[in-house]
Amino acid sequence: MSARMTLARIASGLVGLALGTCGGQRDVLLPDNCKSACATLAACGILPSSLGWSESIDVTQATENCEFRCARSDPDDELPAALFDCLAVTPESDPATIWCQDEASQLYPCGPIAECIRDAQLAGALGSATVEVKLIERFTYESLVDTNKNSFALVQSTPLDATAAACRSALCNEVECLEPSLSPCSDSLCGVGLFSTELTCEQLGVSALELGLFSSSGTTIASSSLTDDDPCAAPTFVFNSDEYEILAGPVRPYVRIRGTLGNDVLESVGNPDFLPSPETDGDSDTDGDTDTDTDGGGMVGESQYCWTFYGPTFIVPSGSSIVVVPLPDLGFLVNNKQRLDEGMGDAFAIEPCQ
Amino acid sequence: MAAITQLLALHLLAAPAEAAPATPDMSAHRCSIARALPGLTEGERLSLQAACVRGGAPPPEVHGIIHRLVSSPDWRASALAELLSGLAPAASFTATPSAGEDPTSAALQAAALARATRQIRDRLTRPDALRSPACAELRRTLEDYVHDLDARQPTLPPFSAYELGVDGERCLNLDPTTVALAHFLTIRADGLNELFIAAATTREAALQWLDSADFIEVEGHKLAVVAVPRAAPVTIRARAQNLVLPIHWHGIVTHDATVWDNPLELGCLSITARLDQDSVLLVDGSPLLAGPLTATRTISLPNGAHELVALECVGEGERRVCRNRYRETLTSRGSGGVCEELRLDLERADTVALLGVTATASCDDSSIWDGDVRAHATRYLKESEPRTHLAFKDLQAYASLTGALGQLKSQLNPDAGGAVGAQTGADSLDLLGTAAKEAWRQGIDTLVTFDVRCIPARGDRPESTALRARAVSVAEVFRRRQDDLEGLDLDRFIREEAVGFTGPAQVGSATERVLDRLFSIAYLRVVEPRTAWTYRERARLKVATYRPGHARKDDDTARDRPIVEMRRLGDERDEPAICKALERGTYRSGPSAAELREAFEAAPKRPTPHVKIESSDDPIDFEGNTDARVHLVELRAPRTGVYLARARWQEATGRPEVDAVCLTFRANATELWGDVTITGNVFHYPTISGGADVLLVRPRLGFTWYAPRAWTGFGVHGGYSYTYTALANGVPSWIDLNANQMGSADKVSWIRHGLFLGPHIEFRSRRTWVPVDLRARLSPDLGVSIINVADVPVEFTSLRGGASALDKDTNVRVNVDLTLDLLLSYAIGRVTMMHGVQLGLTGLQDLITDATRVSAINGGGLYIGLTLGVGGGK
Repeated sequence: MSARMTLARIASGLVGLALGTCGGQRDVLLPDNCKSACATLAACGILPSSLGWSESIDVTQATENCEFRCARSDPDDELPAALFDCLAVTPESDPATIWCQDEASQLYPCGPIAECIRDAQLAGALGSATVEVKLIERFTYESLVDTNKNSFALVQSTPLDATAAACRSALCNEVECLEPSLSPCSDSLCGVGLFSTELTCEQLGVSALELGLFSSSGTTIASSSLTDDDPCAAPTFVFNSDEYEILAGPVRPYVRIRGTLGNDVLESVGNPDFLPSPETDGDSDTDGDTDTDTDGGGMVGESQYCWTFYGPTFIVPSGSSIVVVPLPDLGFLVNNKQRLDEGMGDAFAIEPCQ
Repeated sequence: MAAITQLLALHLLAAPAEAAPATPDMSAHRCSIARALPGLTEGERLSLQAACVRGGAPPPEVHGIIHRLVSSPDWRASALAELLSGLAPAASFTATPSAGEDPTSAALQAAALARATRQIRDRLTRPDALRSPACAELRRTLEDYVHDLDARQPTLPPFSAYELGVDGERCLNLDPTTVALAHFLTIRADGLNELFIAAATTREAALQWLDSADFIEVEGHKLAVVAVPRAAPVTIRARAQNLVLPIHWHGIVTHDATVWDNPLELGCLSITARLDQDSVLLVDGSPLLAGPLTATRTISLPNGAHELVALECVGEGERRVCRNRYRETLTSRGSGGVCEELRLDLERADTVALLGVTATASCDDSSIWDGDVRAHATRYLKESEPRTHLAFKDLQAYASLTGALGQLKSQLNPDAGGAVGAQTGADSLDLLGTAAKEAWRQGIDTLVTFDVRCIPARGDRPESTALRARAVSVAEVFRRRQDDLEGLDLDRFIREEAVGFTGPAQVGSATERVLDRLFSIAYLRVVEPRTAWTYRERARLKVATYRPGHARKDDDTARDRPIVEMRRLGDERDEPAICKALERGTYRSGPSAAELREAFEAAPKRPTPHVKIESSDDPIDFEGNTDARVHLVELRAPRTGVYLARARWQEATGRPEVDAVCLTFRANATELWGDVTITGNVFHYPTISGGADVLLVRPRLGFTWYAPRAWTGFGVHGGYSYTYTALANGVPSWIDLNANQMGSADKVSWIRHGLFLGPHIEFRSRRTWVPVDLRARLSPDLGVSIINVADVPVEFTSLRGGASALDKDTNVRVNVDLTLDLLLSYAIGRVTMMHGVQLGLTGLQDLITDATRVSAINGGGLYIGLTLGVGGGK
């Protein structure tokens, strides 16, 4: 405790003593309480926000600023009181809002807190997030990001299964990678160079990409189509907080690809839902779009397809962070046909385009 | 002959009618005449007086004195007629003979002459003595003489040694041997009652007394014939009918002669005299008036010089002691019946008068007025008669004194300041003698003059004044002059003392001091007492001491220093009785030493004032008189109040040896003050405590009344406060949560301008044991503030003070402050400097209603500031 703080406490005490008989003694937050609260907020990725600000989106600075502001906030004031009430919310009181079921995780208490803050019309206190969604190859993902290979959900029918692996932190950005331990982020991809999905895209005959984010409630937060001539050349998109209202919390990235594959290939993937739509029949040979050969009892020709692949749920913090969505290669799709058919397990979720 | 007699009688009777004389018993003063004789030593006078009192033949040691007196050319010889009247009808005295000289020869010669005189008287006073043929020639000669008298023709002596010494002269049949030694004086004795003849040779004095029975009557004229030694100085003293005083004749007889052939030319003298019990006035050695008496006597005197002597005689017989108080030689002239007037006042033994006060030109522009000196001196001389033993006489009542005394005053106190002394020469002495004579006639023994010299202020030195007093001892002048001592030194008659002082308030004290010293009256007195001081000042007093004859070689030893003590009597508003008495009374007439001691002892001893005493080095305190000193005393009071400062000698027993003064050490009743308090940062704790950097400047102007006690004050004050608040870390708490936080961690600042007004109460130590006052001033303030939040981003609505600040950059708030000043103050001249700290609670209304609300409009805070102030009061 600095000398200035000590003097401030003495002064506050004197003021309180002087006013003790008039206004009543007021509670003043103890620094330790603020430290704990701000640590929770930081761990939940709520900082930087109006609760603790850092111009450089430095969580450490934001945490210090949070502690600074917390210590000087009157818990009897309306806003601080609401905040303190929210900080006191336990996951048990509102299980539906839990982001991460792992009680051992720092993220375990975050969901109810964030929900409480949002409900208190203090969304500004949650901090806005700038999320960069990156498309990476499945192999890269499994070897670098999810070494367990089953740690992220592959949900066919439900866009997001938070219960599966919602304790995942977003990946560290470039700055955070310099000191990953200071931020609630995963350093899995720190030090990894450019990600190229061109081979997979070529294999899948991808002609268009759309990257997007779902909120924890399953609603689309934002999406962006990559319609360049070579969409897989740089398959990444930044959802800036200035344009997208993305609050700190769980998000699930996805990628929607459109492309053309042989019908046999599409059949080998196995999910009839993925079959090309009727309008895709025709003179694909001539126009290059579809070329379906139904003779001989086998699928011949090509058809256009549109598939959506969901990445894992990340807890994105306030500020700038990275989430990835893995793009499965054709072999993986064929080999996991059964899993896809069953629509369960740890395979990628794949959906037809809506 | 009858015509001649009538003429002489008419002459004598033509003298102005003398007022009815008082009839004192002059015989009582017969022998006192000896004390009036000039030219003798005091011992000779005493011997002569004693011989007179004892009567009979005077002792041999007096013979020489008698011989000298007989040889004197004035009335002194005739005084022997009274002094030695017991030896009548004749006596002779011989001075100490030379070696080998027959001591009896001179005595024999005197006896022979006396015998011849008696023989002539006896022969011619018989009836028809001149009818005998043997006396025919003498009868014819006498008749011629008488005819010449009547005809106012030159006369020939009817008795000549030549004729009387002829062997066989049958009428008188004198011894030719005796006649050969003598000359014969024929004295016209018309209207005379008695005659005294004193004659002297070189070693012999012969005295003869004749009365009317001894006179020869020739054709209606009375004559006396006396044989005197040849070439001898002879004095004849006669008492005439209708004349109070005797008449005298004096001459050296070198041949037979006649005396008083022509009628005497008489003048007139009107003497207005006031004599006390023991005084007697003598004219030409004859008692004229004796006290107690206040009367005017008009007497006839022969024209010429006469000596007036006033004696003061006490006792009877041989124990009678006389002192010569006055002597003057008068010249009587015939003046057509107008009498010369002479005023004499000898009622009081010793008197003093103020001759004058002269101020130099340098005093024209000064606040010192010579009239003050005169007034103080007059009062003091009147009041001090028991000490000076000199009765004061007001010269203003004597218009006749303006002449010589005026000149004397001018010469004693010249504007140029020149000293008066022996070097001024005989003129001064003559003037002094003349002036002294005038003063002495009025019975004044001592004349006092003052001259005042003002010394203008120069540099740090204030205007000062030198007061010099001179006392001219008129009595001394007379004693010296009547002894005919020459070479008189004026300094022997003039005593001089001088003192210096500053300011018109000291005129009285300075006048009294210088007079005390003139009359050798010891004093110990507080001078130049400035009685009112501020309690922080060291009161400076001067204690002037004068102890005649106490001068020591070692200057200013502790023993010679007075003891000065001081005790607190009480508060100023409760003016102690002793102080009232000291204020009303003068140094001499104030409270007694016992009263001072009682008042002093009644006062508590503590706290003990500081007292320091040393010799004054002020040039104006330089004392030319080594018995006088001026001590400088420094007194420091422990606190405010009225103190009694007492100066005394260690062995003091009486009031003149103890003096006291009440000193008031007071604090200013009011004070106009201003101060400024500066604080900030670690010494300022605003309720908006978000790492605020604060600069608070708080100037004030106030006025305090210290009443009813000096240590409590009440007052009002107002001031301005400037508060600059900067939050280095930006938004300091969880406010404005939905605002864009960009820049929220950047420094924000605002400025608060406040005007405030309020009362205050002050407590002040006023103790001098520490060099500073300890002060505590509690001040509640009510004020209005304008908060400029232009530098606070508009997004931070709450921080700017609410919605009202959105469309403007200023807020106006009423605020209540409370400050407590803890100060040290000290005086520098008339200015009081204050240093200390100010404990302040600002924005009490914010502290009470919303103590920790984070907003620029929240004025709540606590601070400790440094205060620097300055004040002054009266």
